[in-house]
Amino acid sequence: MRTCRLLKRPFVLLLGTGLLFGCAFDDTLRAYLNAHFWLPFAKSAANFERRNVRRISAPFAGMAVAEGGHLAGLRSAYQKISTPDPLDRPPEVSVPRQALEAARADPSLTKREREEVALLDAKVDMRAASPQDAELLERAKKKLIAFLATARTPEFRSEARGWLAHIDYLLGDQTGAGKIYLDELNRDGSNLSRETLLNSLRLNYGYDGGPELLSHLQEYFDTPEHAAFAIQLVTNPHWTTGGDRFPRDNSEIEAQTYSRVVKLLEAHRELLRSKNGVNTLALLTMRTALRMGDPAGAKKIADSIPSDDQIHAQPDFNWMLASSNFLSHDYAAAEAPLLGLFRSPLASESQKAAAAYGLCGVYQKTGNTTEQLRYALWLYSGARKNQMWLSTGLSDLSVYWAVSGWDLNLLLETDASVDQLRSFVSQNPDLQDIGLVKYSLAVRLTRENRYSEAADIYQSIHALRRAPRIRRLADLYSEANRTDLNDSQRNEAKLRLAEFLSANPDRIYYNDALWHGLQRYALEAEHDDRLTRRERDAMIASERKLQDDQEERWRAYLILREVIGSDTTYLRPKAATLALECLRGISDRFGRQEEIRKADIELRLLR
Amino acid sequence: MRFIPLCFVLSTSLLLSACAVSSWSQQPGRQLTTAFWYWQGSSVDPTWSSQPVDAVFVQVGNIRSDRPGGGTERWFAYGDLPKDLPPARDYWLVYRFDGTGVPDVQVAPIIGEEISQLQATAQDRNLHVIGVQLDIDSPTGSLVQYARFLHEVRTKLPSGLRISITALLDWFRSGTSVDGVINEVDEFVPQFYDLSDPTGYGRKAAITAQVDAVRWGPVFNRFGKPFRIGISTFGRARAVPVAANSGTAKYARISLFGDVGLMDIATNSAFEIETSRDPANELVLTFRAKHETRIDYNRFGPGDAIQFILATPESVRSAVDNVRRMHGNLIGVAFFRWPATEDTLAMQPEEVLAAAGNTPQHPKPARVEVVNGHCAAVQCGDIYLMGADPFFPKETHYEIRSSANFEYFLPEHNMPVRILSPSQLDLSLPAYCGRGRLYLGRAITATRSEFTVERQ
Repeated sequence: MRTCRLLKRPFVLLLGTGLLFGCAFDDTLRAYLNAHFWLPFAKSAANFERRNVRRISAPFAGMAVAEGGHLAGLRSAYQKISTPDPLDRPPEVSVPRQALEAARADPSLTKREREEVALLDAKVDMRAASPQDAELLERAKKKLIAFLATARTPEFRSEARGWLAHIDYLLGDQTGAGKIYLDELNRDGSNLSRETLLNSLRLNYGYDGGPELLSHLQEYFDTPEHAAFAIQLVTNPHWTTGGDRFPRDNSEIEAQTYSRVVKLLEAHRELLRSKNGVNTLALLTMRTALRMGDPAGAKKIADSIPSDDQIHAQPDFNWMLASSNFLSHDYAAAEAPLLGLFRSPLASESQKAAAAYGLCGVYQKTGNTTEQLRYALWLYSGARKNQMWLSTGLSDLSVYWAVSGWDLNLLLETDASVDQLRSFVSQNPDLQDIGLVKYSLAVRLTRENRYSEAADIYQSIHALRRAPRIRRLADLYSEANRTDLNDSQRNEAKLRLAEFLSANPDRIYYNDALWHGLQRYALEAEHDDRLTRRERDAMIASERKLQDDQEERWRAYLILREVIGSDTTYLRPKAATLALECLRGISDRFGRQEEIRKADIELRLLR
Repeated sequence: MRFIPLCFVLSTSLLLSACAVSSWSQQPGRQLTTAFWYWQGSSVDPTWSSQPVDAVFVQVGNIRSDRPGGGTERWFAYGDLPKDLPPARDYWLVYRFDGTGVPDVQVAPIIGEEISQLQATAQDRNLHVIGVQLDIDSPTGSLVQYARFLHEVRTKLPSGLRISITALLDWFRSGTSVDGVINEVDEFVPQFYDLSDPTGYGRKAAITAQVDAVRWGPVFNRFGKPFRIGISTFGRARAVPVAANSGTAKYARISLFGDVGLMDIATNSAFEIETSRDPANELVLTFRAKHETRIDYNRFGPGDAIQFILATPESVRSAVDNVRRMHGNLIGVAFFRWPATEDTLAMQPEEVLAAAGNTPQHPKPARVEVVNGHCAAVQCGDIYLMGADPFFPKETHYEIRSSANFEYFLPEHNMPVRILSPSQLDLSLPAYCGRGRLYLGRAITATRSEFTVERQ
């Protein structure tokens, strides 16, 4: 009993945690119909890192092994205060300060060692200051600036720049700190680790730099690299996902912001051309235009670039060109840049996913269901391979993966015809996860009463439970449709067919490989406000048809109605009883509530 | 001879001051300062373009305690400045205590530290914080303890900050220790609303208590300290079973009913409406069930009712007029509370200020606001109606026109709006439902569209 009690608590905790994770699910569907989907890619510090930067890893000032003499004493004293206090309490620095005096007075120190002492002087002040002690931090900062004016040792200079940035960060100078971190990130010979710099940039700017970056934007136009970083960060996309029930229209505020950005870009046109040619300026201006909700403006910039310009190979350019076309409702024109992005060796996996999902949107609009299926399947395979279960949105590029899989599911269930599925399977036999398409084709064939064909496919893909079940169904169906039987025999055969269907809910017409119990959340065309009227009407109709076609009990009921309505009266009570069981077993989600209610009343009288 | 000019000056001064007093006492339109409580849930409409109010009492946090493992009581005070605040000349940071009794003095330094940090944050945002208000419903028998607590809090606050407290009317009856409490503060705010439990056996629906200036003026003025008067501008819904009115079941439970809005009931044909006014001139809308019906998980039998009690311009005007007569150390009124954006029961700030006589009464015509839904392949927008008359006693029709034909329109749940023609919507707004910012639904058009509204 004691063991049971001991085990009970962790078990409950485990169960609760499992339920928590089990309850959250991704509901991405037709995300390309949201304008935010087409915003420029989110950028973080890692996107501004130059490749193959050569870094060094030398000990910081004061952290080398202490061997003897005054410098050793100083190092030893500094090492005692070098670890920050978890409660941010400033350390006692009288001992290191005394050691500093002693080391400064030591005539035997080399030039390098003297630089180390000077840097330690600044570092001791910095350690002594609490984050709110502006005066002491400013003193340390002055020492670091003076140090950088004269010091020659590269690793100490790099370290000093890092501390200078750190002090700027503590003093709330986002711009000063950010520029130093960014420069160090791409400086050969930097003694600061890549991880430290990326973390520092993330801490300094967050996702988009906030109001601080916006108000200091013009200060970044000292170098093209700083300007490109600042503009791209400040134009990082945002996507409100409906948490605010009564969202405000921020378009006027955003328009003012981005109009300011455009003016800055115009004013510093030559700076941005100077290093990288026209590309940087074009990309930044397109990005800003799209962010402002001006796809026509972005398209105009793209159209002005010669077709042989190397910018056409850039993933960002292709994405933004596709966006400006899609948002301008020129869906066909969005195809080429999306294909370019998908095939580009420069594109990351997430950028390829964006292209693939964008292509799903293009092909939905242009009616190319086969290609839509291709890219939806690619996304499905990729999301599973990368073990993506939830999408959080644009900031981490996860929304492009269509993690829910519902876009593919609806293609397989309703949007693609049986012939299109069959043709896709035969033309792409080796495509990853083609087995899922085959399984879905088989399900679709059963819904059309083409049981033998379906059973063959199940057999070929080793669906060991469905294959024999569908073969049995094929026999029963065949029997119920024999023309050489009399009415009584045929109705008895129909009754047997209906009994078989009602005894196998979700095992014949329902595609159990796709939905994992979440189908009801995907069949929402009636509430989807991103569709044209024609699309919406068509989707509502196809969702209704899907629900009718896949519900074994409903189909059994329809067969039983034929039996009840026939002249074979002795079968009526049995058929009515079974029909009633079928109707009462159908979930509320199926709909047709009024019809079912009336039928229930009628059937009760016939039992 | 030298005394004559002095006497002349003295008598002239006396005469002038008498005139000033009498003219002041004869100024029914004397401008009181107006303040709002900005509570958890309150939100600022970005289209609020009126002048800054005099003061805002911002609920920043709560004082609470726990007893881990049944041991020693621990005290906490957490505070956070809301992201959006209405523009005001002065801000007060309010800490509320929801418990019974009085907080322990050990929480005073914690409050002090929190206030320091909040003050720094407020400074960064250019908010002029002038004090702290403690909203503590101390039992009348614990006022001595409360005074000690206030004394301790003052010693821990940053210098220069004032202390205000909300006050219960029961404190001011004779024989209590309220003098000690008032002594410790710089101002106090007696509240003339929710004097009794709205779910209690007394069954009174009213929120607002009538302000008897003749009775209360001398009571509040005797302390020689500035005071404001708290006036209700919010509303409430409660479920009233039929037995509560008939007296057949003595303890039939009246419960506060926050689950459902005025529109949800007004559009439900199972209910019929009765209207009345309480003694404070609040509007009481009683929706009585004609037959058995359910709303969500709540079951209503025939005769059961849902009652909405709403502040009105008349109730606010009457209260403010009565408050003015208190004179003396009265500095103004404080309204509870600034509404949330989707609040359909509280009065909007511009309504309140107009009723209080602070701003001229120019009711704005009805207008629509469209919030972009950011759809990629169609134009989609959320349509809001504003400026409808919240106290109109009959159903009103509004015609909303679009410059482009609708692909379709998805109305908000329970919103009685329908497509009248390819480019027109008809809204049948039930009586008394035109309050605040009404979300009508989402409009989908193929091309960009402009919307206008006309009352029929």
